[in-house]
Amino acid sequence: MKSYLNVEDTGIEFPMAQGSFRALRNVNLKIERGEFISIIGHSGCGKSTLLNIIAGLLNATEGVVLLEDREVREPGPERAVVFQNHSLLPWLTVYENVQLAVDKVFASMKSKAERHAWTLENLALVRMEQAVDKRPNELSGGMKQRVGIARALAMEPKVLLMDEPFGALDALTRASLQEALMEIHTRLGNTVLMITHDIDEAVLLSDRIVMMTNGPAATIGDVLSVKLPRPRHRLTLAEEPAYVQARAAVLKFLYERERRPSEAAA
Amino acid sequence: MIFITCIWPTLLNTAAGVRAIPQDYLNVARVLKLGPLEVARKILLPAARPYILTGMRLSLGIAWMVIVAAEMLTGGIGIGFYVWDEWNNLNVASIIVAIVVIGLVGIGLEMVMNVLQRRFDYTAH
Repeated sequence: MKSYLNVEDTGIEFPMAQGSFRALRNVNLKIERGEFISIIGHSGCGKSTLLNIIAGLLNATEGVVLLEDREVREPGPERAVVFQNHSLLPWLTVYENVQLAVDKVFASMKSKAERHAWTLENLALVRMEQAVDKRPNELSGGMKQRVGIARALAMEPKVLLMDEPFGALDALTRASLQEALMEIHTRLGNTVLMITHDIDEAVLLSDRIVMMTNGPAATIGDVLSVKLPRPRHRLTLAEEPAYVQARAAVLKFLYERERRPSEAAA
Repeated sequence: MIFITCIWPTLLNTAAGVRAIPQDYLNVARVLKLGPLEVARKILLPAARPYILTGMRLSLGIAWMVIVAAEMLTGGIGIGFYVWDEWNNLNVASIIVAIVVIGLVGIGLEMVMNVLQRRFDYTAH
């Protein structure tokens, strides 16, 4: 049976001045509806490239990405992306940034009043209803990322793609946004694909962790299922054996198996 | 003629502004599936607006300079012709007054542009 989102034998080659550069090869991934998947790997291993292929921002040179049995060839709002650097438009207010997405996606489906309510609802979901008239440069990094998430959620995506959404934030802000994301995921049951560098974040949030080998020609090295009951709490998890095991498994993969690129090629 | 001399700063700055738009904004546009016109109106124009305004400011300065110079050549009317006329009359005091007036008008135009820039430029908020 086909899964919700299928990545089949996907690879990509970038043309270079001399020959070509192979970034990804033979990537196979099946994601079910409502799953929370993290992709982890050393920098430069093609995590973002894979996410961009699924988003449709890049076209794979081989293989195919299927979302609900339909081929992904171009970007679209059903695969909303939360970018690492939030990518809010600085000349628009918080409200207008989300409204831009809502108006575009629901232009024919919702009335103006409904779109207004939907915009506010999504901002309330990330607890930004107090700052609707602020501009992005008046907000802290964490708040900007909250708005970025609100904008993506407002598109009602089939898959929410997050490219290191909390990478640029300090540890405390990151923790509070992780909590917010878990809460939203529990409430809405979105399918989420998130890139991260943070092992704790991956274990805390995900149902499965996809570990990538080192580039060039990176692929999926291993997939770890995190069998921890939800809701998860950061404090109680720290002593949970399953959490410690999962964490150790990822650490081992990243620092033993994928330490040297020469080993990764084997 | 004045138009041809003073359009270049605006044109070059607009081009530079559009080139300087981060890829992220364009990716946002692609994910939202904005059409070419919407991209121009909602992303390119506002993102390049600070550059366009700077270009217009430079253009206005040049335009004013060229206007005065052109009046000196064509003759008949204008402050440029007045300077030329008074020079031929050996009336240096009038020339100095004219120079001060030209300067003040230049400063005035600059201030107007400054206000405009603050009004339309998102980076100045």
